Amino acid sequence: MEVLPASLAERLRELTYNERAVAYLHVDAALTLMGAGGHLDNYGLAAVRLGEPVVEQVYFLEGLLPLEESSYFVPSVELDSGRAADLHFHQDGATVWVVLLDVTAARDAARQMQQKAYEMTLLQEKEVQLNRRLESLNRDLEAANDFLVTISTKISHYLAPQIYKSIFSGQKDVAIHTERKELTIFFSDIKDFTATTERLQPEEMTFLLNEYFTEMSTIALKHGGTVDKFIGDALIIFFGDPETKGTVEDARACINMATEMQSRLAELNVKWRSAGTEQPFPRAHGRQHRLLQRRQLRQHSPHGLYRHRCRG
Amino acid sequence: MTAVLQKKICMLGGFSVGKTSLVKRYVQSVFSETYLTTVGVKIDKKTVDLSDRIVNLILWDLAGEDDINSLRMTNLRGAAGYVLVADGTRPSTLDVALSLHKRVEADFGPLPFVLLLNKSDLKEQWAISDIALAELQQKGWWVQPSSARTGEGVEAAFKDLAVRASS
Repeated sequence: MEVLPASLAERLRELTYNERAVAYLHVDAALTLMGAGGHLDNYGLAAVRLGEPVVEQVYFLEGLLPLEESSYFVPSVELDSGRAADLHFHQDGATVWVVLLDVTAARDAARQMQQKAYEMTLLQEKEVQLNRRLESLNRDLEAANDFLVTISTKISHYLAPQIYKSIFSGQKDVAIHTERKELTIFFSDIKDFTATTERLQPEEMTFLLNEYFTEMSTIALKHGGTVDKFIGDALIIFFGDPETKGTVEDARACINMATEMQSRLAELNVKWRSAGTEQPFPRAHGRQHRLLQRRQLRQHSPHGLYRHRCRG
Repeated sequence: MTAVLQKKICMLGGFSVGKTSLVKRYVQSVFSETYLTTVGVKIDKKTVDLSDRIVNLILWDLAGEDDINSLRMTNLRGAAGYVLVADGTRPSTLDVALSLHKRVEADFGPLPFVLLLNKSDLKEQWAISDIALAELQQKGWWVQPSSARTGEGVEAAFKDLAVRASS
């Protein structure tokens, strides 16, 4: 090692001693403190007692002595005093020198840099986590949406298309409430239905009824009617809700629908008979599936309804 | 006369998992919301009375593990046990803790340790599954959620470690 000029070496020694607050502990092989000096107060070590076990007085040395290697270094150790020190261990025969050099300023500067880097990393981690959570929420929402689509599709089979559309498009609230409205209501049932049911097998009757209601519902929809319900062989359809073309036009649409239903029922009877069913829905029914009673209830009904009744 | 023992315990884990806060909670019974990163190591002492013996725990709160600051294994020299800390709201910190455990075992053999899944007070942000926890417990690990903010699990963890490190 190059030997420094004496005056420079002395200046460096002074600089190090004062600027780095040099302190030292001298420990013997039995781990007894045999010497101490320098800026001990800087590290909260001013009260150490010579001749007593060192580790009990300077607890940060616990586990570090005796040395496993001749020289050893623990950087930036923050002590009780709040100061940070580099700890240098130097084996000297059977004894060990522990030298403390103050690095508080360097520690604070490093902390400032590190703090910023960590905060940035934490923000990035948070962003990634939030994105993941968002993706997970989106997946849940999609699943819920799919479920709702499935359910609403199933429900659609039980609701009149107009009702379904008005509810699921948000036009109509599903809350139960009372509303005064003028409607044209259509009732129909099948003549001598009870006798017909006794004559036909259940499977045959089911087949005929299914086809009959399907065909009648199609005609109702075509004319803008809302199929309200099927009751046994009866069918209730109304005009004017949820969509209306005005009271008169709704009534006209109802009559046109009834006429078309009569024609279609006649065709169906022909078809069913040719398929082997005798007297499916009696011929008389087809002919009589007409508007039998048209009673204006406006003056009598508290609901102000027009009531049209078609019976076969 | 009751025996007095002194044991070095190291705090290990990723950065910002709450190692310093756990020590502060345990030693001073306080919690600060301000995050102050640890550079190098901070050393504290806590005396635990175990009835038959008194143990001075010398707590080495080591700088958090990250891409830049890798654990100086020499800092564990003379340790009688260690506390692994992970942040329950950041699953990656559990991986860091597991990796640290492997490295310590490779260099120092099996030492008593506890694994704390810290920040258990942040339940809405909790991201470590009970299954992961149960798997580690099945391996015989002493694992438990903790909160430096509320103190949950802190005292018990250090006391358990004090018992095992001094027996």
